[in-house]
Parts: sequence; C-alpha cells; structure tokens
Amino acid sequence: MSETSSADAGGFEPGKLRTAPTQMRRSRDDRYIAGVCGGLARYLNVDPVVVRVIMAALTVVGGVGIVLYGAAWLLAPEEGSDQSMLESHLPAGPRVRMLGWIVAGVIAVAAVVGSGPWFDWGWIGPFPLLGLAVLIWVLARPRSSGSGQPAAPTAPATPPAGSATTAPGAPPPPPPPGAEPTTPIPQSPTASDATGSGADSTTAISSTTAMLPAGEEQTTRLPMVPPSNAPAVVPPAEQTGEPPPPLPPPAPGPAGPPPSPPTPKRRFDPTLTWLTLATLVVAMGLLWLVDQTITDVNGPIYLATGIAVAGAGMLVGTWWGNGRALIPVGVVLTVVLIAVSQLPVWKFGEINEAPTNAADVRSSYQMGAGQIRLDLTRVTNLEALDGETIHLETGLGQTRVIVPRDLDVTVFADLNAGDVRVFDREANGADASTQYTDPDDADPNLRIDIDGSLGQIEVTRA
Amino acid sequence: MKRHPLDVVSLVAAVIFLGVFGIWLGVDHGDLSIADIGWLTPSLLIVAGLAGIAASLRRR
Repeated sequence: MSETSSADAGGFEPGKLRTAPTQMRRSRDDRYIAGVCGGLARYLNVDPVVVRVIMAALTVVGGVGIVLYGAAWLLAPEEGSDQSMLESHLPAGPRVRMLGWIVAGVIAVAAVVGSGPWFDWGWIGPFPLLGLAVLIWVLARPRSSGSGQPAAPTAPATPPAGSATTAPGAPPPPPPPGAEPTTPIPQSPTASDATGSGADSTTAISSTTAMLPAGEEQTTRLPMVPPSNAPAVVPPAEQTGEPPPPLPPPAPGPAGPPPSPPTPKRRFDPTLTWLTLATLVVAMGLLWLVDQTITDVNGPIYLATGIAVAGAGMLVGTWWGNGRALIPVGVVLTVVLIAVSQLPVWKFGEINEAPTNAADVRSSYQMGAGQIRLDLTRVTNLEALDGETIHLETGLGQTRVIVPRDLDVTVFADLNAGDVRVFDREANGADASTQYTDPDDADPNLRIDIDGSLGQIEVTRA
Repeated sequence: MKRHPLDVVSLVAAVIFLGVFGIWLGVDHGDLSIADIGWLTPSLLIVAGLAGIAASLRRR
C-alpha cells in the first residue's frame, strides 16, 4: 500500500473531475474491492479516504454509489493497462467507455429517482444490482483460466512474444498456467532460455515494448493480458464500419513461431450474428403476416419472439461461431418487454366518452398507454346504472371519471405508482389506492373500479 | 462458423434470454400468473448462474 504519498504532492485539481471517467485507472495496490476509490483518489490527487466516504454516502442514496462503483469497475482500466474489463470482452474500443458512463449516469439518476418515496421498484427490486453482479462476475474471470474463446489461443501468451523477438525457432518453455502474477518472472526465464544470460535484460525489455501499446511500462499481473491487450485495442479502431466484432472465436492454438504480437489473433466472425439477425427479420415478417391475415399479433409477441430468436442465437454461439454481439439485442428487447407488459392492453391513445344513455355506458374501458375520460353527467336515465359496475384500466396515463350529483358511487381506485384523487380523498406514491362510498340514500348506486400502473386517477363530481 | 470450446458468456446469456421468453410465454399464454414472475425470475438467474459455474469448472 503506497499510502497516500502522491496525494499531497500537487493537491486536488478540480479540472480533473471532468476527465476522470475516461482517464482514471483502478488502483492495483490501494484497493479494497476493485481499486476504484484508490485509483480515483490517485487520479484526482486527493486522499483515498475522502473518495471512499463520498462513495459510501452515495451508496445510501438509492445505491448510486454501487452503480458508479460497478461502472468504474467495468469501464476503468487497471493501472498499467489501457483496456477496461468491458473493452476486453467487447468489440468496441475505448470509445465504449464514454457510452458506458452515459448508461451508468442514466441508471444512477433512475436510482435516485427510484429511491424516492413516490416510486416503487416492486418485485424488480434488487435484480438490476444482481444483474450487475453477474455481469462483473462473468467479465472478471481471468481470461486465461478457461473463460470462453480467449483461453485456448492466449494461454501461452508470454512465449510467443519472447520467441518472436528473440529466437523464433526455439520452443519456449511453457509457462505454468497458474503462474504467479508478476510480470518479469514469466518473461525473463523465457528470454534467458532462448538467448543466454548475457542478453537477458535487453531482450526482456524489447519484448515488453514490442508487445505493449506506447506508454505502457508495466504489464499487468496476469501473464496473458498483454497479448489480449494489444490486438483488442488496435483492430476495432480500424474496422469501424463492421458490426461489433466482439471476442473473436477461438482459433487453433498458436502453432509454432508465427504470430508477432501486433497481429490480431483472430478476427470476429460475424456469421452467427448476421444469421441470427436475419432470422429475427424473417420471424418479424412472419408475425406481421399472421397479424394481417389470421389473427392480431400485439407488440409483446414481437418482442418476446425477438428475445427467443436472439437467445437461440446465443445458445448456438455457446459452441459454434460468436453470438456475443446478440447480448445487447436481447437486453434491449427484454427491457422493452418488461416495460410494455405493464400495459393491460396493447392500445394507445385516448378514450373520451360522455354517454347520454345508460345503455351506452360500457362495463369496461381499457387503455394501454394514454388517457381515459368518462363523463357520466349527461346520462339521463341514471337509475339504469343502479347496481352496475364499471371497470376502467389505464396502464400508463390518466383515468378520469366525472360523476353526476344525483348518482351514488362506490369507488375502488388502485394505482401501482402515481396520484389518486377520489373526490376529497387523495393517495399518492407507490401502491396508491383509495376507496370511497357515498352515504346511502335514495339515489341509484354505481360501483366504479379503476386500476392503473403508472399515472393518475381522478374521480370528481360535477 | 467453427466449433469452439464452450463459451460461458454465451451460455449464460442464452439461458437468461430463453428463460425470459419462457416466463413470458408461461404468463401470457400459460397458466402462470403475474405473481409467479416474482419467484421465476430469481430462479432463472440462479439456474443461469449455476450453468455458468458448471460450465466454467468443466472448462478448467
């Protein structure tokens, strides 16, 4: 732990706050979890304790601290590396970092909003955080130890580098797979084996510099990081137009001397991605055709079918080809599906009715997203409504009912989140609900049930 | 598309998304109710995670 030695040197530079998201590095030696606080403190030149206290405080505010920490974990490279965890698993280069921070910002804002008393995540509760944990777990596993494709080819990472710069023909001694982290150790032996002890130091240096992007001095802890570093950073920048070229599919292990460090090991094979997306298009077309000819096909069905097709593509990608680019597709479709499944019906717009005859008052009004306005004040034969029940439901939006003076009503209003106003009774926030019953008298009695997910319910008397 | 060693990321993602589809199907067209989502979703994550753990260990 290098204490805070560097912290006192120049003092805090506020300007660095702006560049911190893209420039900071996670600390290697000053860390409790992933070195985010230590790294940020070092970048900002402040005491790490300050950063940790702020982070802890933010965690209390709707878990914002957790979101930001997780984001930094995924998006900020470790010291001595130019590639963040996410970048090393995704096709995109460092450009993805800013995008990632924007997404994290949106989630953080949503978390703050969501932590207010007026909103309830309901059963979704901890799942976004669980999802983040799973994501980190999946991405954090060292790529050498047998995660996915990268494993096979990168395992003998150090040797190729050494052999390329020194003695291509000499079979490098296989590095112990679980070898201890420190850089020089795996390298020096290789170099000295190949060229003899005299050239030791120089070859070690040259092989290091050859493998690493400019500006790198230290290789990362794990022996296999350098190779995955260099190729992954370079190629994506070149093939901007290409579909996300995520982790290249496994290639045959490096046979013999060939690949010199800068050459990409394998290229992303987009076959599976395109195949799946094309299948998706066909499926959408078929559904649409069914919608036009046989039966109604609503939005959720399209979304769910899309998720199924993308999932099938990923399943294929578990053994053949590379389907990782489909994951974002699945995520987006799932989020939209969750959102639209809040709607009682697949219907958008406005229902605005002011019936004059009790016979025209329907027993049920439903709107997916939009507005329902039911004005009962013009009904002339109110006695015909006596004993009836009307049910109104708006998934997202406003439901308004206007009741005439000489009609008694019993109102049950339930809203998952929002504002409920029934005459002089109000309820708001999560699970807002209220009941109202007119005092019993000679007037005809109508029961009104109103449900909604998010929005407003209003019952007034003319 | 060449055959390659099992890709854990793809496997976990596939289990999750196919599971989401299955849950939707069960709720929208099957006998499951909205309330069942409350235990189905966590169960799905557990299954996907276990699949990932098993696959990771097997690859080692």
